[in-house]
Amino acid sequence: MNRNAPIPEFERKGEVIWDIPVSYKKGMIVPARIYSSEKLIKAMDRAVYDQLTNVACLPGIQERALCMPDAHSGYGFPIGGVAAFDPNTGVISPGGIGFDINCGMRLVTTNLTYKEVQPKLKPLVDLLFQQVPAGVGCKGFVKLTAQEFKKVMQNGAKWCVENGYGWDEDLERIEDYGCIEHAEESKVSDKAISRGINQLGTLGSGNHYLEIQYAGQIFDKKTAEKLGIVSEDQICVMVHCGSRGFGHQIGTDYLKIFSEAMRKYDITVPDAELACAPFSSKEGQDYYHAMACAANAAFANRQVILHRIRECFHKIFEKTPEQMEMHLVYDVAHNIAKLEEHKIGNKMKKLVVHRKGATRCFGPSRTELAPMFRKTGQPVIVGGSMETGSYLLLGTDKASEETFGSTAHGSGRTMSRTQARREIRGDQLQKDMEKRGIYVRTTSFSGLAEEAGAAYKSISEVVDVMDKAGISKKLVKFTPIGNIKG
Amino acid sequence: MPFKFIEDIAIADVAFQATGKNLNELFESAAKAVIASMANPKTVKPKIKKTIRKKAKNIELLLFELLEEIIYLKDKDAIVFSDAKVKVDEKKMTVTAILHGDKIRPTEQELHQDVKAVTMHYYTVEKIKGKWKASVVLDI
Repeated sequence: MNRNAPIPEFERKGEVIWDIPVSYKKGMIVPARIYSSEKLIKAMDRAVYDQLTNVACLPGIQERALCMPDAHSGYGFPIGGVAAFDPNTGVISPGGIGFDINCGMRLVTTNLTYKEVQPKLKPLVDLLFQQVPAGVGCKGFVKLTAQEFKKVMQNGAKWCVENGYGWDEDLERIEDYGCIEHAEESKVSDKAISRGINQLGTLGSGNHYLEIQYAGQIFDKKTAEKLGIVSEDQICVMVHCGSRGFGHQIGTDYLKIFSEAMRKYDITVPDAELACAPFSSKEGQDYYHAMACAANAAFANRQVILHRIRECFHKIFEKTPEQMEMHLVYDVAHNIAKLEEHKIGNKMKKLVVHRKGATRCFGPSRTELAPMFRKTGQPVIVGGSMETGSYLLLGTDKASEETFGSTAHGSGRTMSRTQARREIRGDQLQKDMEKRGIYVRTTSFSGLAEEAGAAYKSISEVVDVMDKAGISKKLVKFTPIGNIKG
Repeated sequence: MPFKFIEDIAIADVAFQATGKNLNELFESAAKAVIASMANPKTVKPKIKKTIRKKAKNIELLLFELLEEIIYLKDKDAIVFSDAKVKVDEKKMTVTAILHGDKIRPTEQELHQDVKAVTMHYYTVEKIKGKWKASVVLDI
């Protein structure tokens, strides 16, 4: 990673908009744009500039390469990166999506208050820790044949609801109704299936979590009520995970295929992780269809976890999930590529939008949204560190004009995992958090240390940037009280 | 130390450098780095034996295939490893690795990260002054 990348001579286009002109690097087809406050950009890891401007060199890129305020360097694209490509002349790149295809967020309401949950918090978190497997190589409780798993990859969350793992209403509260239609099982290797078949209903590790929170601060009460969040002591549950080993293997398989394909199509890239193929090529289309299988498996994974959450609350509070009004608020991906229409100049144009650590945030006018969100805009769930809280935002129509309908996805790391492990002791952190009223269970103390709040940027500062830019509006800030970490 | 984790290469992921006097040592060091990323090998009992055989077009891809397979087995068989012995045939461009390990037991083993993939980000395998060296970033 190029930590010595030169600091660009930014062209500042507003309080939170920083443009990098094409003169920054040879080969840039379009400029790059970073959404950030002055404070965040000063602290931004310099490799982001290098990686973002590498993206600006990719064939067929449209308008500008974008970066959200939670950005940090990754591999290929920076995390927080957004780029749109012409489907006829442009590329698709697994490095613009990430190995964890459709890693995403899910938010669930309850009608329970903090006072009602707090006395039963420990047994609740302990039960969830037992029922929602987390950590290295964990196996899920849904046992599937390969044939049945193929139905999961084809139908996503729809398969879950049809098989008793959810409510009918859940589906309209998921991006693309929890099922991306162009999934093609024939484009997925047997290896990917054998790797992921036992992992439905699992969290994994890294920054994945299941968190009990209360709605500590509501910014727009009227709109929040429409989404089922009515009071500032209301308990909600947030989940962050993705497509597990199944998606990771599809990413690996196609990284190798694309590395070969680049020679065939005479494409050169500055970082091997930007391996790509023309979107319209056989390789590009095969990946697009395989990626949809992984995306559907991720929707199904989070749906099965929701089912488990409802079961656990039922057991602890001795009320049905319906009585506790455990409605899904929304489920949204932040690692994905989608074919979407956005405005280029004065015309709407179909584009292959890559979001890597960035969230779709469509405004009320988008017909892709279920009717219930066409007045509010799409709910956007931005997950923070386990110590500092998370946000629910709403997408705006301005996002479709400026950011290909995209916003931030989290707080963004500032400290490497190794540094966090060296500076923070996981067992001590667990005790400290408990004293502060946050009960955490983990399968790995080193993993817990890596996810400490100190390793992340301020989430409030990140969401404020996108709010000021008019891209996504703040609706609710959640405060954590219980957390399960892989 | 045949491998060391590198702090400043990847903020959200894990990077390591592996070295060896020859390819056998290099591949073994890199395999051990991947194993140690997932669990402390000292806490894993060598109850299960797994043999990996891979062939590739060049030495970079051969190491990639070996490391990728270790990660695959972790998920497919829900297993973590205690040790690896590796033999590389440079002429045939093949690798054979014998790994020992055990089913994942969170209460008995010190588990680390659920590694997702080997990336090609700054991925290198090279011979410098007679010594083999590889740089690898794992996606976490």
